[in-house]
Parts: sequence; structure tokens; C-alpha cells
Amino acid sequence: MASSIMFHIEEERGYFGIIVKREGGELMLGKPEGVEVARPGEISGGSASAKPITMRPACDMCGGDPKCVAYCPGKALEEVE
Amino acid sequence: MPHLFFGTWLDIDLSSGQVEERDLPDELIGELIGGAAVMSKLMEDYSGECISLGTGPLTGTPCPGASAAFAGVRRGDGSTAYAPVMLNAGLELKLTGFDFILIHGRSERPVYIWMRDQVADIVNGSGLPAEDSWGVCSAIRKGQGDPRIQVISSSVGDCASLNFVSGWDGIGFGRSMSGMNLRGIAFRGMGELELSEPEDFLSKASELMSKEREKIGTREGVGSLLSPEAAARIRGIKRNRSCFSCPYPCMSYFATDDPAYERMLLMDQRSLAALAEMPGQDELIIEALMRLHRKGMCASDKIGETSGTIEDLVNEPVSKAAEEPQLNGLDNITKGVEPSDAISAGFILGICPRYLGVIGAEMEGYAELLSLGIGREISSEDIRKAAERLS
Repeated sequence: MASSIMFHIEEERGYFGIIVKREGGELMLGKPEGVEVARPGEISGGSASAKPITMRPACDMCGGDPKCVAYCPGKALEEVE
Repeated sequence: MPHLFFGTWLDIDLSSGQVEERDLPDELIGELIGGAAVMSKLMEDYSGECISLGTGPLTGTPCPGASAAFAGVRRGDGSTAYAPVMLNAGLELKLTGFDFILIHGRSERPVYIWMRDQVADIVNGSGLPAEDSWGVCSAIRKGQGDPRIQVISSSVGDCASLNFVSGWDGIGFGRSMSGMNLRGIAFRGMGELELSEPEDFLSKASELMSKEREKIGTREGVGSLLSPEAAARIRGIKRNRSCFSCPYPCMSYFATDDPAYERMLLMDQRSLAALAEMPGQDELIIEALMRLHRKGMCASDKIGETSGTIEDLVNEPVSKAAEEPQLNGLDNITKGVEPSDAISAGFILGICPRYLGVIGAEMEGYAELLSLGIGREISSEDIRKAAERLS
């Protein structure tokens, strides 16, 4: 789970999402509007209150059994192809 | 420093304005494990009237329901009581770097306590509203420049609020704060804790989470804790949510008519159950409860004392009760949930008592998880023994 961070926008009520750093360096954003894939530097904004996503290890899907999916209390995460 | 704790506690004397950081003895955690048992020992050692805050070893971890910090009150006669402080407060309090906080004395002027990054200050609170606990939260967040700060605040009534949520303080923690001239306790946690076996801990936590989700089924919202008749009277629900690391979304957001607070998050099942039995307009229930909560009044028995109809609660002046509320040991914040060994254990570990009372949990699983996190074998019997201190 070290390869991901949560984010939200203060000005928009209830706006939360997750960024996952994938192998190869690309970033996958799960946002209320939908899923988006971006390269580091293509995402702007955000505060520095968390360790920057680019400094984090890439997600290796925990060897095929993602722990974040297993743990997620609200079943908001699922593994897809 | 034991795993799952920072190894420090704060001794705050509001009379002298002194804030002392003290080491938490390993033997204390070894014997009492954490949570309300350790708070009980710290308050007992102080011996006078005081209040305390603390967390359990599992608070803020990925363990199901492990969102609880605890508020404790000790009266002059030695009686004590504890209530859970929910949402993200447990996690944030734990990661301030202080495992437990003991507060005593009385400040000459209104103050609030501000804790973050292993720093704690007593701050002038003269400008904070005295009769609006939600206003205290807004003012502190604005003054410190961070909307994520957690604020426990007092008002004219007995009950404290956490941010804009009330109904969890059935022990008079807010009343004790007012008596100390303490308007708020603010904290923000950015620290990191060590686990003994992090990989195994997460695997075990995920296994427990999976089992717990199945037990919850389709239950959600504060209405799931009310009778069908009572739930039918509560209007304006927007969506449901849970606290940190909890699979049971037992709270609900309701729309309000107040432009300053467009939504109100309700965990106060006790007051809703009481209001739903009162005559009056259903449409005014949320407005009445919002007014009471901001004044520090939320317990169902208080509502029964003050008025006859829901309309009266919206229109009549509300005042502080003359009598101190009766201390009730471990407040499980949920009408209909009876005391149990599991709930007492939750007050040690940092698990929500409502979750344990409504959904239930196997203590062996929590003991196994705790052993993985803390790095030594702890059995459910060890937890039960530590909880005996609270009975």
C-alpha cells in the first residue's frame, strides 16, 4: 500500500480519490469523474502534506494478491485486468 | 519504546499552564496493554478531578473497527467513566506522538490545547464562542489554517463535540472541560508508528476485514440502529459513512437548513431514538438535534427533561443541567447495546464499542493481530484481565 496515496480537493465537498504509482512510473488516478492515467509531472495542484507519489515504490500488485483490495473496508477497490 | 505506541504521555496542568512530556513505562503497557486501562492508572495516580484522552494499541491500524480514541473523566470521589471518540480522531490523536494525555486544574482564562508533531501548547481561547461547540471547531481550524485538525470542544451543556459531530459523550466530558475553562482540545497527527511484523499484521487484518464485511451484510446508516418506526421519522438523509478502518457505515449525513452547515453527520442514535418518540413535526427533528448538539446537549434523557415537543426544542432556550450527569463506566454510545466483555476489551484495544456491540467480533482474532503488531504473545485472556481494571 506504500505505492498509493489518497487525495482530495478542499473546495469540492466529498471529492476524494486515490493515486497509485504503477510499474514503469505512470500514475493511475481513481477520481470521482473516472479513472485517468498520467505521467509524473502531468498532474498539477495538491498539497505537500503527504510523501510525494513519485518518491514511492511502484505497485507490484503484492505478487498477484493486492493487499489493498483485500483490506479495503468499504469494498471500494477491486482488481481488474 | 513499545511497538504501536510512541512511549510518551502528556501531563497538562491548566492552573499553572505547564505542559510536561513524560515517558510511558514499558511495564505499564506490558501489564495494562493500553486504552482506558492505562488512562485509568494515570488518573488514579493523579488522584484529583481530571480528564484524560488516550488510544489503544490497535487504534489507527487497519484492524476492523479500530478507530477509537477514548475520553475519560475522573471525579473528586474517585469515580471514573470513559467514552469513545470516533471518526478519524483516534488515528489523528495517536499520530500526534502522544499516547495519553492527562489534563487537570483550571485556567484563569478560556484556553484550548493544541497538539501536533510531538508538540503541545496551551493557547489563548478567549475569542472562541462559549455557547457553540461547532463554532469552536470552525474558529480553531481557521486560526491554525488546517481544516483537517480534529477538535473536541465544549459548550454550555454536558456533552463535548468532535468537530461537528456530537452524541458520543455520555460521561460529561464536555462539562468537565467547561469547568476547567477549556474550550477545545485540538490535534493533528502526522507521525508514523512501528509494527513488529507489518506484513503479517496486514495479512491478518485483511483476513479479519473480509470476515467482518460478510457479517455486516446490507446494514448501513444510523437508521439501521433505530426501530423501523423511528427511522421513518428521520428525513433528509444524504449518504452514509463509517469511521476510519470500519466496514460498518453506521453514521448518516443529513441535509440542514443552515447555510453554514449544509450537512450534519449523525452518529447520535440515542438522541434520534428519543426524538422519534416525541410529538411534533418530523421535518424539525434534524434542526432540533443540531441546535442541541451545538449547545452541548445530546443525551436522550436530557431531551426528555427539557421539552414536550420537537417544536419546543427548536424554539425554547436551552440551559445547562444543574446536576452532574451520572457516570456510567464505559459508554457504548448506542441504546440497546448491553455491556459485555468484548466491549470492555474494545476500550483497551481501541475498537469501537458500537461495532463490537452490534456486529460482534472474535477476541482471539484481535489478540492474534495485537501480538503481531506489538511483538509478543498476547492472549484474549490477557486482554480480559487488563479490562478488569475498568469494571
